[in-house]
Formats: sequence, structure tokens, C-alpha cells
Amino acid sequence: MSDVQGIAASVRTAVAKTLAVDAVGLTRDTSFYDDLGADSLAVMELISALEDELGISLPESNEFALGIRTVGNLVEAFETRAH
Amino acid sequence: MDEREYVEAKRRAAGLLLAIPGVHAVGVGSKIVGGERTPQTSIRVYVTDKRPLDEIPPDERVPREIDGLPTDVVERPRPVEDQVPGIPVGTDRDDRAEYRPVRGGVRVARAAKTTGGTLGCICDVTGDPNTVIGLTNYHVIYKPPATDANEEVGQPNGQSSSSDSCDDIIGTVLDAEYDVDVDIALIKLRPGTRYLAEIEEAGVVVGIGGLPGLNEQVTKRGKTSGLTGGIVDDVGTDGDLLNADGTVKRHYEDAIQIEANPDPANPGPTNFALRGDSGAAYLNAQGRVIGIHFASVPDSGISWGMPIGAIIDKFTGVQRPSGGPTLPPARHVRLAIASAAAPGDVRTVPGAAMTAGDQPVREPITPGQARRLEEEVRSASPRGAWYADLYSRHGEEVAALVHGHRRVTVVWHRSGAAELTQWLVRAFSRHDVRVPEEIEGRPVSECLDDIAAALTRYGSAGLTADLSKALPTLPDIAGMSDREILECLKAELV
Repeated sequence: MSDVQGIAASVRTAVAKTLAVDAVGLTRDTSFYDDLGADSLAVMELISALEDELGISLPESNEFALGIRTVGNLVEAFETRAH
Repeated sequence: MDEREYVEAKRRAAGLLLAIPGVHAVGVGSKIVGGERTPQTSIRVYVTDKRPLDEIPPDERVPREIDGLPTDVVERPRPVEDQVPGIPVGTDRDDRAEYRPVRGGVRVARAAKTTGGTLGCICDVTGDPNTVIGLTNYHVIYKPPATDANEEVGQPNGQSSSSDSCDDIIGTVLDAEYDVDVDIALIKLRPGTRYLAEIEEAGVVVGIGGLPGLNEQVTKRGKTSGLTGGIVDDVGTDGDLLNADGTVKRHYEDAIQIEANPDPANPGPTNFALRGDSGAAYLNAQGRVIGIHFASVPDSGISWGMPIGAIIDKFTGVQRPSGGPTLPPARHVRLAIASAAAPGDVRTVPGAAMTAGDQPVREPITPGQARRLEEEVRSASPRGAWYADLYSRHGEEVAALVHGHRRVTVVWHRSGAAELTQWLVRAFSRHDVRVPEEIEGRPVSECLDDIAAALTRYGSAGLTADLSKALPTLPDIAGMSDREILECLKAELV
């Protein structure tokens, strides 16, 4: 199971790679939709890629995925389930 | 004398006349003598109960003339808005059918609202070729005075879906006005929506017409009463529209009043419009739109509409030709009635987000289209019936996975399965469209393999078992028309 610091780093790397943006400017408040121009499908793909990488499962419903709006939301979702 | 002079005189005297006890509306119409219309135009004063002159106090009497023009006291009920209940069940032609391409005269409803009205006609927007508007009443969409932006509107039911794979939504409300001049909502049709510049049963819309003349014949097609005809009985009614409890809901001015034509095949009283016809377009004998219906009195034969010019002026903010006050400048939408030279001229609202070739594919699949596809496949052959049975058994679960399971949703859209479904339904509803050979550069068979793998992984045991039986038997439908697909289904399974 990944440690908490490793989760934040993995999320930043995955966001940068999946959405083709620079990881340097990413903060916990960065919005996938408003700041990075992502659509809901891209965020769902991001969640699935991180699940596979981190070995941590998040709820599979679209409703849960649509609630993930920021980098911080995504980090917290994995952190909560890593403990 | 020009009827406009009567309208002007009526306008000047309206305040005084409406202050007389018992007077509920004023207007301009033919003077009625002994129950018959005469060639003499008059300023009409409408009362609910006409009493002998000697019973009326002198200061409550209607003057015989106004500015030298004759008056006429006419007994007529007050209008009540169409959505007030009261029409006996079984006395109408309630039409709740799905019409594609979309056209005027058919049922529309706001999403998640059980009552509906009528889509009057389709309008283009001058200077904005990407916007196409459908007209209906404000009160069909909203409960006055509450207005929310961007309400979804469907035909016929307002059935919405979390994805656009199966719903009947045709657009969203762009703007709406409910005031002395109009009761109107502008529905912005979805990109990709196919439409006709026609009114169901009435035919092609020729364009916009001016204010009708008295005693001119008009027709309308409403979702409740169907196609009916009537005569223009008043061209400038000012009055009050009432709530069911008798309180004033809306004061209206310059309305057109229509009296229903008799029906020679069925002697007796007739109606021009019924509850649910709200929003229907009034057409003159030339097929030009002259107004939009907004109220009627049940079983009285009388209906009220607003002139189309008042609607167009409302959204451009121009001065009214009568010299009345400048309308408050609303959103600037320069409406132009969509017209066609011949029937069957199908158009598509531009701006579809996804296209393949030159065929837009983002028009939502309606429940009716999905049902027809299933029926055609079922009746094609025993093999088709087997596929249709599988759809009946697992369709709901597949829809739930596609709309609700994150990983299936992603595969559904990324593999091209959503687009393939749209093409398939389109091929069966239009007959001039073929399923493409490839979707986003990949063979159709690969799209199917991807979505089948996702459904097999995340679906129930029953779905997985049936998929494993059905998948090896599916024909390769790449490049096929609907007829060719049905031919394939006639071949027996080995």
C-alpha cells in the first residue's frame, strides 16, 4: 500500500501525464474542469489509471467520480482509503 | 374606415371603458345585430352579462360612439388560461406522439413536468445561422412568474437522461417573457436536431403574416384539439386573464380573438382550441404565421392569441408600429419564421459536436426510435427475435452500467460504441444512412469487442453468459444500411 506522500506525488504525475499539463503549476486547489479544461471522461480515466497504479480502489459509480473536482479532492480520496 | 383607426380609438378609450362595472375587455370587431355580424366595424365592449339599458345607471352606460365611431356591447365570457382544468376526458384528440424531424403543432413538455403544451412553429435567427428556435408559451414551461434559465424541453414528454444516448429532449429555453404583450418561451433547439419548417397536418409554413383582418379564416394545430379552423373575431382585445379562483393572472393587450368554425358533420357547438394547445401557431389561409395561441374558454368556441409581430418585437426591442411605448429591450434575438417552398425539406440545427462524414450524429436517440429498431430486428427473423429478446432481458442493466459505472462509461465513449449506437438507430429511422466502416479510425468490430469486454467484466453473471453466446454470432455491420442488416439476420445461425 502506498504512503500518503507517495499518493500526492503519484496524483500530480498522473494528472500532468493524462491531461498533458505541467506538474509544476498544480496545487490542491487546481480544478480539473475550470483550470485544466478536462471533461468528466478524462477525470474518470485519471481515477482508473491511479487505481491501477496505487492498488487502491475507489467507488465505481459515476456519481462519485463527478464529485472529484480538484487535485486535492483526488488526493484525499486515495489518502482516505490508503489508511 | 380603416380598422386601425378603430384600434387607435379603442386604445385611447380603453382605460375609461374598462373602468365601467361589468366590462372585462374592449376590442374592435364587426357590430353584431340580432346575433349576426354586420359589415359595420365597431369598438367592442365585452361584458359577462348584458342587461337592458334601463337597468343600468346612466354613469355606467357604454357611450354609443367613441370619437365618432360606433360601439357595440358584446356578451362574452372572460378567458381562462388553457392550463386550468375543466375539459372532460375523452372529448379531445390528445396527441402525445413523437415527431422526428421536429415540426410545429406537436406536444412539448418541460423535463420532469407532467403537463405539456404545443410547439407552435420553428424560427430562424437573423444573423445567427447556428441558432434555431421553437416557440411555445411561457406558461407551458414555467409557472408564472418563476423563471429558471436553460430548462430542458422535450418532444413529446420531456424525458431526460443522464447521458444523451436515449432521451426526447429537443432543446433548452433561451429566453421567456410573460407580460402585457406576450406569453412566450423561446426554445433553442439542440445542435444536430432535425426539423421541418412545417406544422403537422397543416403543411408547409410560408413565412410570417401581418395582423389578420376581421372575419379572416385562420387554422391552428394543437396537441389536444388537432387541426381546427376559426374566424378572426377581434383584432385588438385588451382584457384580463384569470386564475381559476377569479383573481387576475395577466392583463393582456392587442390580442387576436378567434371564434371556432362550425363543423358541418357534427352540428352543435365547436371549440377552436383546448387546454394543452397553448403555444399553437395561428396560420392564415396563405400558410403564414399570424399569431401564437395563449388562452381559451372551455366549450365557448372562443380563443385568444398574441400577434406574431408582438413576439418578434419583444425580442428585438423595436418601437411598436402603433406608436405605443417602446418595449423594454429584452435579449436581442431577431426571430424570423422558418419557411419552406415544399414539404419534406428536412434541415439540421448546425453545430453538432461530433460528425462523421457530413452526417451529424449527436441528435439524441429517442425512446420511440429505440423501440422501432427493436421491433424491426425482432420481426426480421427468428435470429432477430433472439437478439431482441437479449436486449429486452439485459437492456436495462447495460444502460445502468453505461450511465453509472465509471469504467464502462469511459469505454462506451472512448471505444466509439456511443457513436456506433447513434449510427445504427439513425440508419433504421432514416433509411438513407449507412453504418460507417470505421469509427474514429478503428474498425467497427473493434468498438464492439471493447465494449463487450467491459460489459463482460463488470456485468452480472446472466449478462456475461448471454454475451458469450451472442457475440460470436453477431454479423459485421460495417458499411451496411438498415435493409442489409435485416437481410443478414435472415441467415440462420450455424
